[in-house]
Amino acid sequence: MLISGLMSLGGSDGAGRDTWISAFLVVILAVPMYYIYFYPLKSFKNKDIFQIHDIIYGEKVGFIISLIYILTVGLVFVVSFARYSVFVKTVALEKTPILIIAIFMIITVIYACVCGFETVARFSEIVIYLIVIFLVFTLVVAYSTVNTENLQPILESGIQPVFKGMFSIFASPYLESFALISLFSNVYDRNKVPKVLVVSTVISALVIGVAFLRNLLILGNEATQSFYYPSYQAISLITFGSFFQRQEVTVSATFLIADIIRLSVFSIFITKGINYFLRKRELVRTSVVIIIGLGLVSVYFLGNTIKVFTFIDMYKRIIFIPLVILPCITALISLIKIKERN
Amino acid sequence: MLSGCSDYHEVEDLTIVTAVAIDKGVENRIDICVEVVKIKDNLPDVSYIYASGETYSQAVTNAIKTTGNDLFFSHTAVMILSEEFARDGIMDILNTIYRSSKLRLDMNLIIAESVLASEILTSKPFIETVSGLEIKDVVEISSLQSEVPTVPVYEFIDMVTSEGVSGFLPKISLIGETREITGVALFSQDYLVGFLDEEYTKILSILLNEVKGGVITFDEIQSPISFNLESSKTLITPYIVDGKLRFVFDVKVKLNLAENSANYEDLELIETQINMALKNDINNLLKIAKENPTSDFLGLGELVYKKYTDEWSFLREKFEVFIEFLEYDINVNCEIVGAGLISSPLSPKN
Repeated sequence: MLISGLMSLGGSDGAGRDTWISAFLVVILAVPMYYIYFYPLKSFKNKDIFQIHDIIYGEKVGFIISLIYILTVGLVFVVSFARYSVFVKTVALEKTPILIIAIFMIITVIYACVCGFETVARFSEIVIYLIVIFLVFTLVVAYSTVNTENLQPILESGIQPVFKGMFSIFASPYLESFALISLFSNVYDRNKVPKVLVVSTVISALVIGVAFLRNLLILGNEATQSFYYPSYQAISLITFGSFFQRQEVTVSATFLIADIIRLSVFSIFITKGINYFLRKRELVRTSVVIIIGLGLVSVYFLGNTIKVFTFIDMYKRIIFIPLVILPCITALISLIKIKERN
Repeated sequence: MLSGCSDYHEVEDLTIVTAVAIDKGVENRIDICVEVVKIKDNLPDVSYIYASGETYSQAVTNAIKTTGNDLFFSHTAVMILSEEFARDGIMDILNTIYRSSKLRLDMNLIIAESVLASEILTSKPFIETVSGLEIKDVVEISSLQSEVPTVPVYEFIDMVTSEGVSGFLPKISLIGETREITGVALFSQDYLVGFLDEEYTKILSILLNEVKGGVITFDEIQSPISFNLESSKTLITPYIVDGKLRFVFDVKVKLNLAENSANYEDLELIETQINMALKNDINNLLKIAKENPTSDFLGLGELVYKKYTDEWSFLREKFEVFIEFLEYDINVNCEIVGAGLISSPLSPKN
């Protein structure tokens, strides 16, 4: 979930040359936030996030809160879907209509969603090895392409831009993982979740930080910030003799597979939420309608790079309210309720 | 994978572009010459397409009209820009390359000196069949000989867009009917402002730590003497003392004796002589830098920017004046570390 956001991370995240420092420091924000996400699930055993909202806010307010979350995750789905379909069209399939790319992505996500959360989780267990292997490989062979001069001066404009960059990276992909953590009500052993959250956040911060650093060292500061997909461009320059060239094709394929996992998690969350409201247990029809609907909305409204990346700047601010403020309130009320109960 | 069908191409249908030459046309139009290769009977069939347009992209579109096939730019090895074209600024072309998903960022950019870029491209190749690939090989081998640094597009853009450094590109000339890499073209921002000849380009490679091998010859001492360049390490340090900016050049070069009949007992004396000679060459190069203050091809501004980041904001405004009146010290330490396969030079019997 976290690392698959890597390919779409742009270069202009507010911190300029020091974005890699922001990417490492984001752990400070992400770990407590994830614990806040998980706290209500831990406190109310055998309840999912929508049931918990009903318990702590009452039915009417709980419905509104759940609806806000569903709409937010829907927005995250739309943005992620657009980001990847536009990525494929821009870098590889220029003459293919974006709708065709979207249709095949929709079919794949529906299939993953219908297979269920466990299948998606097991699939991602395989994909993570591929991603890490590719990342390590590209780092090793990039040694002849990097220019260490690009790193300096560090903290040119002070620490403030680093914090700005930290919040930008925190918004995407870290806050977007709300949907995944909310589905942890399905896991067998909830006690292991905090450890999993810390370890995965540290690993992803390392991977994303190193990727930012690699982009900067290869492309330089200005180009890293100009490119929509700096990771793709940086990897395209890495060659190992005359045999290993243009590795960005394999890397982008791997990241696309990872994105399918990401989109599947968002759709499972939305499907579960809508099913809860409609008091249904039917998964297939609901998810098919949701994925097709959101996929088409995504392509219609955010069908090119300018639209997507202009919207992302605004979107990163929008999701702070539902994905930071509301979970904090929910966790606080859960804490009070638990204390009252005891 | 299925969604990729719309972009499907048969290899036989591709018109592969190996090189592009860009010249300044009449009324500020852009003239291009595209070298294309088709495979016929397992052999490359090279042809050249000429087109013109208000912009580079329009010129390419006009070129496509004549082929009947879309041009496939992913294998373009070099882009040659004429001197006249580059003097008007090349940022539009650089942006086009960065915007395009077809052109490769590791393509080599070369400046054609005193000749049309299309003439360079269409001149007869020496060994290869395809001119573009031969020019790429010539630049690469020249780089391995430390004759000229290779500058792929992404490195040049990094230079142009970075704080306190100006870009440079290899230049190519037509001597008789032979193409030859003859040094580098110097830029101020994205405008070509001057040239540096071969003898100084090697010194530039030493100062920029771009030495990858090759031979260096000193002819100022008793008799010409050649060395194989084993390694070179240059440290340029800026200092601000009493409000004055000063640079110290510390150059360490390791050499292997390649051609001279000197006795090994004389090596110490030779080292002293080549230290003097190299110092003199660096001094001459710095004089050229002072004569071209708009082109900070040594990246002196970048060094100041990195060391004195706070002071840079007011230094940058008048940095051209600093270069014009550049103050510096040069410390050269050449060390002869080997003499090839023989322990003493051979000499004829009396």
